[in-house]
Amino acid sequence: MTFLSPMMLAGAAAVGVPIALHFFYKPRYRRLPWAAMSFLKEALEQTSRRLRFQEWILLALRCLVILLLALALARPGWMSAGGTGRGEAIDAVLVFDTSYSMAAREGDKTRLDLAKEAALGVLDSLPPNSSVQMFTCADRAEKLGPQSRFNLDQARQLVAAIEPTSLATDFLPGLTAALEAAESGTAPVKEIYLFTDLQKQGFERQQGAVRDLCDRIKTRANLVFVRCGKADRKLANVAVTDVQAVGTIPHTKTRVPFVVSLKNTGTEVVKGIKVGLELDGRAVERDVVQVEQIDPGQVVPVTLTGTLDEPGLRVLTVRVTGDGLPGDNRLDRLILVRDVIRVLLVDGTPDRDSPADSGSHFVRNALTPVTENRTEEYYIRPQVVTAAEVGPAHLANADVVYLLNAPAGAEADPRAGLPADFVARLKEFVAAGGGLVVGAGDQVNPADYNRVLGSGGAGLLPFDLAAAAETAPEADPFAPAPESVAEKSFLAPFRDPPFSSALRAVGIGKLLPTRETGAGSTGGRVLVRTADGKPFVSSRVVGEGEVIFVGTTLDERWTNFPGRGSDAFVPFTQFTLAHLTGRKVPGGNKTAGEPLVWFPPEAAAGYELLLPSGRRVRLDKARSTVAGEKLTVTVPPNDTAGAGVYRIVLDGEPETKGAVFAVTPDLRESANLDAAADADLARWLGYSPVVIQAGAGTEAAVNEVRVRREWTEWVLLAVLVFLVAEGAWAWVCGRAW
Amino acid sequence: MPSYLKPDILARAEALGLKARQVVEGLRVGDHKSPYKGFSVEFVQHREYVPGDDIRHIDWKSYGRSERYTIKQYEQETNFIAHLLVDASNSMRYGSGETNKLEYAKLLAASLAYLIVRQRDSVALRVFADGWAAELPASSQLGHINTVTRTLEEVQPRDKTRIGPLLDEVADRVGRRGLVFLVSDCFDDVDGVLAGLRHLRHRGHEVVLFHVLHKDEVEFPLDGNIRFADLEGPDELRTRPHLLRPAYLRVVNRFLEEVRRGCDGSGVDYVKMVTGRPLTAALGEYLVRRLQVVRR
Repeated sequence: MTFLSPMMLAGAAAVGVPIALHFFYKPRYRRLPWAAMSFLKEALEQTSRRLRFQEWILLALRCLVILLLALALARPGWMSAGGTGRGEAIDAVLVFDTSYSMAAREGDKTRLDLAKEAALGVLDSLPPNSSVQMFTCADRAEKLGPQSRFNLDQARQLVAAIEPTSLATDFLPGLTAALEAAESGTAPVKEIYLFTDLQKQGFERQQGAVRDLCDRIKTRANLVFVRCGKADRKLANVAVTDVQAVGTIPHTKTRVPFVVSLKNTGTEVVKGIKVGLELDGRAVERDVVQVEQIDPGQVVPVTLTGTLDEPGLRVLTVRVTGDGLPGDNRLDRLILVRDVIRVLLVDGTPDRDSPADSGSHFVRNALTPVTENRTEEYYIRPQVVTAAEVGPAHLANADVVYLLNAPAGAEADPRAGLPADFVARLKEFVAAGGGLVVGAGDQVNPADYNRVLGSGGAGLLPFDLAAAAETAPEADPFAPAPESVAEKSFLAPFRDPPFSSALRAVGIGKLLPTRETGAGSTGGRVLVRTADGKPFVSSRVVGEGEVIFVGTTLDERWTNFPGRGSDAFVPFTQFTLAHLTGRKVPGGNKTAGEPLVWFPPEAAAGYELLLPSGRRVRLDKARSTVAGEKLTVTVPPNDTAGAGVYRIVLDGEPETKGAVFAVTPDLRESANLDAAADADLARWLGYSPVVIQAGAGTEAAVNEVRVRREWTEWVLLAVLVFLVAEGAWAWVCGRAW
Repeated sequence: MPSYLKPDILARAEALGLKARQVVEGLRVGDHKSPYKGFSVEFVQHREYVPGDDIRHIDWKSYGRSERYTIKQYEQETNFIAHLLVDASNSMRYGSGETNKLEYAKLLAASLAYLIVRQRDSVALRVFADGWAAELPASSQLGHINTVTRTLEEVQPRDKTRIGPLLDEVADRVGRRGLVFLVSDCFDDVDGVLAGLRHLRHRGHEVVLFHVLHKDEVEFPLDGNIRFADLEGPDELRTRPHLLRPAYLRVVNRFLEEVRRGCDGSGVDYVKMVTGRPLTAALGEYLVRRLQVVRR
């Protein structure tokens, strides 16, 4: 037998009160001169033994009631079945959910604060010679320590230092690590505590595996879920899901509109959300914008306009305030602000006498949608060269290259097409982050292209081209289907009006399809199809760059796409250019938990990681490797658990000499913030696990878990019975017999 | 008028009268027939002279006719002597005001004395505790009432009761048969008391025991924590009396029954007087009962 509140046993000392009263209390007696004393004495002689007996019984009952009450307050019970009970060493494993939903506030504390308090309660409740191992767990587990598993003081310090991450919840890795750690201990009793807000998705993401793991844990250790926060708490949350410079490429000398996407991921209406936009830490607008109301599930775009003064890599930061979950209220995005974008147009069908008939005419106009007198100062600077004239030198300053109906050169006469050295340099250009757009045409011979640029050559084409172009009936040209546009692509705006209508109006008389299977198809992706399913626009990522292939001409030879009859060409060109130029960012935009990879231009003695907090961490030399001929510096996923701006810099060099990474929160975390109820756990796991509430009574609750078959209720019942008996007996004694 | 002579008591007692159940010996003509034939005016019979008879009572006319000495016998109505024996021991001190047993006993004695004297009978008073505290010789003078009441007023409770020997002493000292009223709580050795009463009866006295008790002593309605202090000794007893009530009542009732049965067995008239009850009613009830018995 053991007690949950052994201190209360001290209350048994109160048994001395009725005993002292019985023996030492002198009540006040009223004096009464009495004549019939002999009768009184005789009556007393007859009754004294009975009276004494009654009083002893009464005293015994009162003592018993006090003793039982003290026993009940001490909460007696048997030891847990999993071990020999309190007083013996325990191998405890503490797993902390550090997903960013744990940063939600419950009153004046965050859920993580509650978890820490509860963990300290667990540590305090551990018997001597117990061990402890601690892990953080979001979508991955990370061991916290302590270095010596018996060093509970260090464990307490580690608990205090736990911070929430920007990761999403998944209990499987944490529980897996916990079971391994528990089994590595030598104590007979093993306990695993998971401190979490019990977000549903923590189970749902890998429900079957979690259930199997919990079944295994159940046979080896006591698994206790410590609920941090209320199960029925509804969080009001608005997440910043995206920010984009829509319709343009961020460039200097103009105001650029940025569209911020806000999504209410909670189940309650959120009002009065304030949105602010910063560029390199400075607000781009004087006042924040307030969104009056966002309904549950609603996505609200908010447009903020900012002036970009200087070219280069900039960190765009969106901040919102006014909801209950801070973890997804900030989104950082790297943008490359350009002064000039140089586009090389390789025209396979130039016409010097009538430039409007040149193959590059429509693209050039689409790239510079300004009046003729302003093209020189416009930030997009197209340069037109013929396929015969083009050479590697033209790629020196180019950001994007268009191959417009440019012949690849026949196998028999390679010089009739693109020069080989140009093609070779073009491959390097794309791999280094450059963009390439290839337009079809009569001079695009599929076999030559496949051999030179496709799988048989540079490997730049998204897919190898079909054997021949297909011609549509004049009355029924091929038409791009807006619904076929890939959702997650830079062309996604064409899925919705007004761009979808413009795309639907496009008619394609002749189309050069690509082969989606077979050689050269791996890595290719169809972005837009025609209504009858033929690939129209496709892409392939090559190294740091990307290639876009359009299955028709980018002039009016095969289609009205670039002509006056279509409004789709200019936005298509702008979207494409913005996308291709946006790729060429040293570092990049990442999600929390992803590794950061940088290819430094030159080797250095060492590298440092500049964390969002401003702290510099020297990277292990093992992080700097050479893959092939490339020097690679990698920051492992566990070091990017928090959202914000990271920089990899050369050892001792300023921040500017290195790569910048904007790490955003894993928005899967806030997609469903519902917490699992106890009934949900029972349904998912197949049994009712032990769930205790984090808070002031955690230590007692933990002890309660350890003690099964608590007798308190029965003892209280006995107290009640004996109280009634005492009252009845007192009544009987009070009556004269 | 003395405080013991309450008009209402006396008026009722006078109306009912006091009829002696037995004819007692007396000197005065009264309402009571004497069993003795002697020297009164109403002739009854002659008897032969025996030596020792007063020669003044010889009927000389009869002698002239028969030459035998004969004595004339007369039947006379004569007064009796009532002996009031009042217990003034400390045990009689219990009670307050009109419920005080001694006060009640005094009032009872005074009332009886007044009634008896008004009927031209004689009253003797003896107040006792451990011994005799006061004694008044018998007298039928009206002024004797004042003496009786004054004596009663002067009585203070004292000592412990010792009834039996005193009754024996009375039986020995009083030669003429008369009426003996014992007013007491009888908180003494019951056997001794009953032996004394039997001794009185043996001497031919009519004996009436007025058993004066307080309501508390009979019903024991006490409650709370009480330290009982013995009125006739140093003993003290602390208890909660309600717990003892049944046992006490058993003991008291056994005592009362013992006294009552002893009286009945000895021809003693037993009258229980509880001080809580008005004396008028209690005495009136007794006198009615007594009158009914005498007329039978």
